[in-house]
Amino acid sequence: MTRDTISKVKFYALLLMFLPVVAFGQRKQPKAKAIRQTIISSRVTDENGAPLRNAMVSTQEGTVTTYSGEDGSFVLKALPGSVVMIQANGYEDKVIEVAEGGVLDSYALEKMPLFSSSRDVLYLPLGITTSKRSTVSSISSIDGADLETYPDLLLTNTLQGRATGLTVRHNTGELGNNAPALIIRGLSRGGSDGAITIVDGVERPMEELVPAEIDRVEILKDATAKVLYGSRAANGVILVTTKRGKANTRVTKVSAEYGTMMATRMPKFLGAYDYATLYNEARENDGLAPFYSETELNGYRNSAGANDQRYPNADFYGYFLKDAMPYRRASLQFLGGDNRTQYALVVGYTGASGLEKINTPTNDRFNLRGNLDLEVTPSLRAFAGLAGIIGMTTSADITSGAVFSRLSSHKPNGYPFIIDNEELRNLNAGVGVTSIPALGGSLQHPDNLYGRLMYGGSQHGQNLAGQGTFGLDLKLGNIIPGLAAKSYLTFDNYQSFSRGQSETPVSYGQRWFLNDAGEEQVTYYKLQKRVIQSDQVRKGHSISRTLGWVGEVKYHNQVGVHELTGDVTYFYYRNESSGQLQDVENSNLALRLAYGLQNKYYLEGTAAYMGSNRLASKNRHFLSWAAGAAWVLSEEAFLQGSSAVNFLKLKANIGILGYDRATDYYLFQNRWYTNGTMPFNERNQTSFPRTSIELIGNPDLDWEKSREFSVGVEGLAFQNRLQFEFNFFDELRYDIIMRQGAQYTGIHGGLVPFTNYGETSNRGLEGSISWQQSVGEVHVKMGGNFIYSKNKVLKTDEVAYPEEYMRQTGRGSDALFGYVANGLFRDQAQVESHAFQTFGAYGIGDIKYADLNSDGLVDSRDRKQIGNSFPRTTLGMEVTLQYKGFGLYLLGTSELGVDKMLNNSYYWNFGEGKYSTTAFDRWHPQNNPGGTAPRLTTTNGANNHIGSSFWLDDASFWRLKNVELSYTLNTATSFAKGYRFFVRGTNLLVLSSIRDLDPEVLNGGVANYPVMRGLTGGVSLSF
Amino acid sequence: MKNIKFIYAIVLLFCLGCEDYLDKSPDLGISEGDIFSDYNSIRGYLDNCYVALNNIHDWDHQPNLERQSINAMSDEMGAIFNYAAIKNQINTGNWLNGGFGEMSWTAGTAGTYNASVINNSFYCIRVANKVLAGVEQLPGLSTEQKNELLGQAYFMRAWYYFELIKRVGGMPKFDKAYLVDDDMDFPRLSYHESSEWLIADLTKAAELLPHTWPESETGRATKASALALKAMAALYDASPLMQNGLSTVQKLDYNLERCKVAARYANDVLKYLPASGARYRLMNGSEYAEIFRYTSVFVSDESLWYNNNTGPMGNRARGLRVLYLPQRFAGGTGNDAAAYSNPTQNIVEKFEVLKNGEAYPISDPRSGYDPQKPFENRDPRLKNNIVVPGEPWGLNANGAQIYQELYPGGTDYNNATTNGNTAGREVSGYMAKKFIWPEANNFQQEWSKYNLNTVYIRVSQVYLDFAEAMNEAYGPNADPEGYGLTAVGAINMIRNRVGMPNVLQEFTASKEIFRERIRNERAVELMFENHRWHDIRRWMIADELFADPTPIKGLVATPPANHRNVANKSNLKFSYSVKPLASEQRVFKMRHYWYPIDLKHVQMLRNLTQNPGW
Repeated sequence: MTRDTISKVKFYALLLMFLPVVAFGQRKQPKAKAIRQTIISSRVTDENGAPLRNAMVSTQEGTVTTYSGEDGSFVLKALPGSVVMIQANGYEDKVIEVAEGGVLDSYALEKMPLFSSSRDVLYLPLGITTSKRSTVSSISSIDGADLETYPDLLLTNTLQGRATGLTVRHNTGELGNNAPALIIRGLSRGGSDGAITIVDGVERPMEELVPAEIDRVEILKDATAKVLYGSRAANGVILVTTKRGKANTRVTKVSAEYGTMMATRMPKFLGAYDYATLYNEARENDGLAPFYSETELNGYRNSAGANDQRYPNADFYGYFLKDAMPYRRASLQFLGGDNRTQYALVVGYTGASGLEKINTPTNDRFNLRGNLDLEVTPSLRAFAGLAGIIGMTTSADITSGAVFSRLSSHKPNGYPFIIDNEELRNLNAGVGVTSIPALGGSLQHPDNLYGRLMYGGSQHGQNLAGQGTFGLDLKLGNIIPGLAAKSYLTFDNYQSFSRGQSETPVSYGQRWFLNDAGEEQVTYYKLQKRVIQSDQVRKGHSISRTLGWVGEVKYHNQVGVHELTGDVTYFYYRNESSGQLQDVENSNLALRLAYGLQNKYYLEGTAAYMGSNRLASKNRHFLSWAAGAAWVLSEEAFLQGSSAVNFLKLKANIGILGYDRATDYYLFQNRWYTNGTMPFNERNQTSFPRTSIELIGNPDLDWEKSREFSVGVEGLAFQNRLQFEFNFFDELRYDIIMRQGAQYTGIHGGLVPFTNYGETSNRGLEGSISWQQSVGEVHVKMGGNFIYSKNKVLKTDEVAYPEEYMRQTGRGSDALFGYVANGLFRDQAQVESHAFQTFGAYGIGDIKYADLNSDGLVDSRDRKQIGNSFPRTTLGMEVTLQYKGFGLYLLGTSELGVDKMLNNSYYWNFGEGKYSTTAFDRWHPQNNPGGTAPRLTTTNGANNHIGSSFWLDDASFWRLKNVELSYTLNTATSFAKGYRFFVRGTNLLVLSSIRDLDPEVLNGGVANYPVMRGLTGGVSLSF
Repeated sequence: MKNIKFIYAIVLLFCLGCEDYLDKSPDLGISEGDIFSDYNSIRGYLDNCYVALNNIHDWDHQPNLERQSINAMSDEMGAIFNYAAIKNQINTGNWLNGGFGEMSWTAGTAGTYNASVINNSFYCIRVANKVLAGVEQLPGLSTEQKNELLGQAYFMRAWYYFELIKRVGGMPKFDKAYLVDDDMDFPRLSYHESSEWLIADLTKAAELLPHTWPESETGRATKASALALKAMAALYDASPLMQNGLSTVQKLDYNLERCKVAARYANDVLKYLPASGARYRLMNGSEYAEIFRYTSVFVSDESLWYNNNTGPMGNRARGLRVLYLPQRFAGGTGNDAAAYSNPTQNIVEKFEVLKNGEAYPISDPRSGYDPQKPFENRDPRLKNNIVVPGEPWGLNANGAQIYQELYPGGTDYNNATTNGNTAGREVSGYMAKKFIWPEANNFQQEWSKYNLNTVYIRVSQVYLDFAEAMNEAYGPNADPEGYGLTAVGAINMIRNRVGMPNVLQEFTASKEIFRERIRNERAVELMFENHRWHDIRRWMIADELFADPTPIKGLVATPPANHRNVANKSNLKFSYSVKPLASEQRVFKMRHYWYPIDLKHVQMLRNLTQNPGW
């Protein structure tokens, strides 16, 4: 497949995107007035003829609905030739075509074994489906509608705590650019452990989707499920299925939500007077004279604020940030169809603006998705999916990250924002150029934050994403019963573009001195020239496009008690991105066979021939395999009819998968490149081009492999009230491709090839449990999920130092290494009797470290594991309460057994940095003899500011992540059939031993946006 | 039938599956075959050895020495910068644990100027080996091209091997471009065996290399470079430290036989230079400053082996600011401005005093040295190398004269003591002048007025090497081999050209007495050129020099009370006193004579035995 072909395909895809998808959907809309309706009346029974009550009977795409009575009878108005659908729990759906001659007297529904109806279908990659009953792997799933309770700009942020085995770790980031890390079943590699996301059959980003588009999110964890997706899936797969129309079910839904987001925890920094006082103390500690005189200290104490010319005292956070920012969301869903054609159209809007008061950033996004399934002939179905995302951002010329880093580093008394001097104002203002006030600045920070935001220009970003899927589904039952084929093609295009204007306002430093008359006088010196950019320029752009191609032949047949399924699938995936010389290319040819006996025993095996362009041709393909078995114990005689156990299944699976996603290209061949020049000539003017070897290739480089085993139990008990699932997993990732730089000598010149060396084992236990019960009119569902995982590096590139405690091998890949701190030196005797510390000058009031190897020196060989950075356990807890129309939903999330280094600028006060309120805790013999933090210093305090247990804290937390209170009203008479009013809250409460900043996102508010507390309200209407 | 077509289509899909679509994009990479097929590209590979040469004027020339040079490890300079690895790790004697600069086997990116010397040595030895093997297999080279490539490759292998063994002692012969899975666990050779190997390489290089290169290729190693390096390496091989085996470090004497060899090699250079047809000469006294900084051309006539690459210095201003200029001259307030090297009183005291046509050490009563007029009648090279307190140096922004104010109460002194980057460090009172010019300051910004490069071997060093070897082999005044020059004669050549008189007769009385004068002459002549550190190691005098807890001294020039109001600081009447700089630590025990072998390598290669004491 050449690039040209991809371009052509892309062209057609774009063309198709403009075709009105909706038109198909509305084609079959009957004109009610023109056609005479007939009244049909019948009865619903079970297989034995006994009446079934409360079965739902609907027609006209679900717009006309009734329920069967005590005797199973129902009466319904329907159009001749239309379709009536009957649905009842535990039974397969029944579809009746209303013939001219009327309907039968009664319809018997077929009883289905638990978890095997069409509502229990599980999607596997490449369009392969299985059912909850027959699957041998553990798949947790989230209903798309559940994700709506968490208002956020990114879909991935809504996933925390909702699915067993998925750990969502939040990061700080800009507005709408704070995608979390998604880790499935712990750290399986020990580096680059993230899962891939698949949207509608191909690897695609999911964070910019909106919940309204989502039918279901599934977490694929076991080898038997992942192997189908080939060489990129071993870390786990998050499989997103978007909404498709259902025959005879129409959904028209409009939803709007508005609210506000407030910062939770923000770092607190000292005001000018406190800062200056403590800075003098730091100078004194360093043996230097005070920097600020008494007069100056008094000046700061009585400062007029941020623009006090002589004694500025700026509260940067208060000055530049709002307390809250707005959040907006709306969506329109339009789904339905008949037996021949099903359509889905979802339109979404999400928007927010940021916390900055000046040049407030905004982020708005429109999502549009249309899915269409179409019967061409009775044996041929075509399907198409098109999605578009348009995102727009505006901001000041600097990122929010840069704004927050300045908030947390610019000192309160650094400079007045505006210099009160009219003469300076008019300097540099040319004809037609805005005159701006003179801005303050300091040698340390010449760029005034106020000026940067106000006069520094702006940025506008645009993101466009287009995703297309086209496929055919062919029934070949007339050749071999049960045979079908399917093929689809996907192509995506992602483009981002930004433009903006970067300007630099002029800034001046001030120098105050005493004139001859003994009065204070000021002179100004210029720090920054004014730079004006008259036009907007392109700031950046990137393009990425993806082609996917899937072919599948499937066979499914049930002969008596034997159920046989076979799939042969082939897929090809290619991604090209700007700035990347080599395209990602993968293929996978898989044969999957599944066998079920008596709805009780299930066996499944898959062999996959994976291909990757990252390995030498002799190793380019790898045969992966996975096999599993499940046993539905509850079908056995000894459990059948048990009143306590309704369903019980044991399952196990094992497999070896190839993995190439973390490997770079061409590591197998020696790579040379032209490497600059060397100047010769008497005047050093002739350049001779040089060549260098970049990499010694390893032609034998082979696949990284994952050997996985898991065993689990799942079931239902106590009249289906208790649902549970527990899985134990044991994974071994081996032949991890790495460079053994530390393990090879330098004698060959530092050219270390990549080898299949690393090995990491990972095991753990995951589970979920829930209980649901109705008490009177109150319906309660409560449950939770957990995962406990611990990995161990078995082989990695490191020197086998004699000090066992220094080694990574044998420890978790997330081990935090550091020095063991034993508090502070309290007197000179302690300093002198202690082992010599080699990091920098130290004395009383500095941190004392343990000399672990007792060699009389504290140096890099005295570091050991002092904590771990990935949570041993993550938890999600959900409670749903329903009473009449009222609903309450609570989600709690938790990480346990995790540590963090408190090492950002909020915790570390030293040098010329800003001081936070933690500076009050510093130790000083007179001023604060009870202090717990090291003494202040104007140097870099090298002895104190290194990773040690002194700065380590337990970062375990429990968070009330999400609350939704709703009221639903269904009426048949008003213009909408259903009204749902809701109020939602996010991040309402967090419990942790870290109290100053957010334990989950320690850099929130320091390096970028803090964790936001959301409060929104809205309404959704169904028609 | 319609359905059949779909089946065909699907079957076709599978067939496409396993073919060549997973091949590489044509845009990527050059193959090894491409490189070793052509003179230009193989030379382009060899030229990495030039790029990796250490540049002593680059601000970060050995990663993480951080704004200092190895001069600050010897008694030539102090490290005023608080965050310098030299101050915090190296000079505290803690050499085993750092991944930094001078001692590190791994710091930086090998093959660039920005890597430690040892790291680059291994890299470049491999490059040379690869070229040596590749040239043999390359058809179609002219003899001249072949000689050029082989000559430079032998020279580079020897140069980098010398850089390695002078630091860590004898090593195995690395005569092949090793790959990681080759067996590299060879036993170490003695220093002498290692040195013999590199000298054999240099003998080959000297035969193959041209006398001069065409103008466009000036800067490549020449025959003179190879001969001069051979003499230098032979002198190292004869030196006391190098007589130690691999298991002990003890004070030993020069090896007399090897001294004779070294003397012969040095004589070869001195005889060759005038005959070479090249520009090489001992420059005269009036040109002395121009040996180190050049206008127009990039190299002085005295340079025999030097680094022609200014690339690494990038913005030359940064190297000059960081290494040689106090804050006011450097401009700004950050690390770069605050750090500078701090020439010591120890080295200043080595400059003799001229009195009645003779020159005496300052300790000699006949010198009439007056500690209150310390800069009167001194060896003229002192004025060339050092800016003393109150000396005029450059103009400020208004064009007015400014002065060196590294005296208590002076602007530069106050800057240094209050700046967080240097606070707590004591200044010596001196500023290094040898490589800079007054206009190279933050006000005049004439950073590029002169060219400046790193000279590894210059003509006067050959005389010094010759003198040292001759004196040890035959004594101060003997010339049994008929070289036409004695040890004393060679030293006097160096002295006379700067206007210094001959060495006092009485100092040439014996080998032992004259040895001290040779060493003193070497310290003065090669000051700040990154030689002294290795000299005090090979002479095995470092432990004595640094035996005192505060071995480094500075000069306190106390100005009169009203000094702030005196515009012309050179008129100030200072009162001088010498004081030990307590902030300058030098921990140096017997084990420090050899650098430790990198821990990782000792652990991996059982035969690569660790140096004694580490």
